[in-house]
Amino acid sequence: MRPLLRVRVHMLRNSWRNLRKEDVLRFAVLFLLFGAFIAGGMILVAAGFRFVLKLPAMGEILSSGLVQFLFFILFNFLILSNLLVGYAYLFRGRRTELYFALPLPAPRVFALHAAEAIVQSSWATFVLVAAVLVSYGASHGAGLKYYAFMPAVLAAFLLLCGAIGILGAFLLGLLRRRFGRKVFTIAGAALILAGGAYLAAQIKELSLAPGQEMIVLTRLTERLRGMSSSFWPGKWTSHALLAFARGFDSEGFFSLGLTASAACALWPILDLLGRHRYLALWQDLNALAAPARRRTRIPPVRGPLAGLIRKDVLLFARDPTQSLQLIVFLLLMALYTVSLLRIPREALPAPYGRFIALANLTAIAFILASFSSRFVYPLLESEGVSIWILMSAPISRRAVLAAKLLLGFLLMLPAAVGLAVVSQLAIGTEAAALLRGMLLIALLAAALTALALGFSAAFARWKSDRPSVVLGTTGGTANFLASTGLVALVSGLWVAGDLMREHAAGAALQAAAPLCAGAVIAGGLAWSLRALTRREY
Amino acid sequence: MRAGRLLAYAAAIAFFIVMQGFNLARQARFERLSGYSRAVVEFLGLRDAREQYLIIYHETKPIGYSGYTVRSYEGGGACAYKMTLDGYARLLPWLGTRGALALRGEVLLDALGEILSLELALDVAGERFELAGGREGGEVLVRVARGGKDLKAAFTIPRSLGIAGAVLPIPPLGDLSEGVAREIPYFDPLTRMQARIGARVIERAIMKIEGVRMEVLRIELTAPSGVFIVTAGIDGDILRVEAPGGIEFRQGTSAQAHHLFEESRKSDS
Repeated sequence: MRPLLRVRVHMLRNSWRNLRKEDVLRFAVLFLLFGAFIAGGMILVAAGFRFVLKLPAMGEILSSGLVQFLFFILFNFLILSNLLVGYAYLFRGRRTELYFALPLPAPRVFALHAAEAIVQSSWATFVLVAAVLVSYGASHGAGLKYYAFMPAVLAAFLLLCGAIGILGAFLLGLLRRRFGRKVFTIAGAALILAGGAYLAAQIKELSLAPGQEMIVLTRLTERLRGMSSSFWPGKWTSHALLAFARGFDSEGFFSLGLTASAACALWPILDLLGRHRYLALWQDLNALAAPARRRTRIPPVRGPLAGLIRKDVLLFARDPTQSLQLIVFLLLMALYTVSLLRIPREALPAPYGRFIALANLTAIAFILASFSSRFVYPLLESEGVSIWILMSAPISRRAVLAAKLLLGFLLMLPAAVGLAVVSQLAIGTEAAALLRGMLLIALLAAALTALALGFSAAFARWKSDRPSVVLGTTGGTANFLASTGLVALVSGLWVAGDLMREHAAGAALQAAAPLCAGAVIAGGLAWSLRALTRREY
Repeated sequence: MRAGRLLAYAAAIAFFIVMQGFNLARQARFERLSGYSRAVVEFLGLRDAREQYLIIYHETKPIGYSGYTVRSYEGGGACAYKMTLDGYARLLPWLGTRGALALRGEVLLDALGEILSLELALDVAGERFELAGGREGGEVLVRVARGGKDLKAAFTIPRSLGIAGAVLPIPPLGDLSEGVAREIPYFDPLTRMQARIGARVIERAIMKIEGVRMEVLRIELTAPSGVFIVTAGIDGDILRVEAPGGIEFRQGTSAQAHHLFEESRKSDS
């Protein structure tokens, strides 16, 4: 274990030493932008908590309930995230094959991958939730002890979710070995659909008449209070934080101890699995993943473009961190659309309909920005160290780019157009406005795709083929920020134009929005082609 | 090496078992508490202190207040909670007699919410009675004095009696939900007797309070002095009480109550 960790530390140190001046500048700019985002978010969260605290009779219960709700959601999502990332690291990663070729014992490889998966799945949650909890502490006048112990509470919670997720990944591997791919896929899809249906049913049950939003919150809080019994790990964490915030240190330590003890109790199980089952399971799963003899012939393809697209589609479908997360993302989009059905349009004054339609388009645009950052950006950079094969093959770079662009469109456009049409139908937008909105969203989706490819071509380091790693690189982060900025600009122009439509400037502003998206498409494609051509592989 | 690993496994599992054992024991202890004690614990929650003050109105005119403050007590010993009672009411609109009624004092409770000791001062139409008591055997012995002079009229009350508000006998109402009915025996300092109060949640209703629509519990409270309809938040925070004879109690704070009636109290005493 220690030599592996030492290798990692040396790799990190070398990366730091090899930083060029422009890299340092890029990091500084990104750091400042991130800082500004987080600081703005923290101010908003603190203001939100202060508002909730002022509510008569239910302020405190609601603010505590919100923290419980946060940890309830985090608990479920972190387990899912650790499960997917853990499965990919433990059983599908190319590096695992390399490690097993070295004289390394299987338990070490297992421990390293498990630790990597937990850190990879949890670091962003740690940073962002810590920011939210600092705002919570500030709004509740928490003492220094709260800020001192909050990271420990959060770390214990993340460790517990990580351990459960890794255990889940192992069980997933066992199930995959026991059942065929088809049964496995169908069962997974059924499970995800059942989860989505359950969430939709919860939202439907919670929906109430207009003007009763606070009641929804109270009921949600109460429902969660019922679910979060004293034996629910999410409750231990939220209780520990509330206790430290209010100066009940012994209560805080007790709840922290409960979380830490649960994580500790899972360690022997994981360690035993790593020692006695991991290698055999990894071998079996890799044998299962190998193509059957009858399918080893190279399938006929019509030209390099079709071949590249076929390769990427197959890789995407076979990688659970991509395909399963795409399903989860699409389900969340469906959930968003279902929630729009609950907006009481008849009860709202007429102008509100217009505002809701504009807000809906803006929300869709931001969803697409994260969608492109998550799924389109890794398309090119996750070629990883194998990029030289692609670039030295007798295929033009224009064809490589066209293949990635088409695949990007294949992912983005159906999701964008589908979401735009269905959500606008759900809020009862009239036909002309619906068509205009749909066209804008389609154009924006194309612009985001081009932008993601541009950043990927310019910043890619080709070091990893894992999308989760690729997303955390400088290029991935910069692309996310730029995509968010583009969405803010285009949506801002469109919304401002719509609000000022009685004036001449309104039409000009609305026309500027698609023009801006069009310019990004042209610029992004030109940039990506140039960057891809100029780089050496 | 192997022995060390097994030892580490055992330590990890033992840590889990011990912590969960403590957790189970705490839950079992909470489940064993009486309805009143659970209400006190739930009412206080993770706070050092929490107050419940109600301003009394007679046909929109404020005529007094009734309140209490529960504090978690960290002075050591058996005492876990300190309850401060504070109430004042002009009697004319209510009982038809001149003068006022005032109550102030402290009650110390143990971890089970049972009375350890009490010290109350009751002013009725200009006359002051002092009630002081502590644990004696299994019960609480209360001695009564008038103007500092012992009346030799001691009596005992069960230590498990609840302590309600000063003027209005409403105990803490935490841990209630729709359909729940609870009967609480309590010590009424006004009559100096043990009494029973019944609380039954009639319905969950939606009400607009201070401009915000919220879900509330409507509770029917049956006390020796009559039937009251209490409107409370879902965590037992009392917002309004409708009493017989055009009397209404509305949620306030100790600061509001003292601001409104401190002068009257001083002049009465």
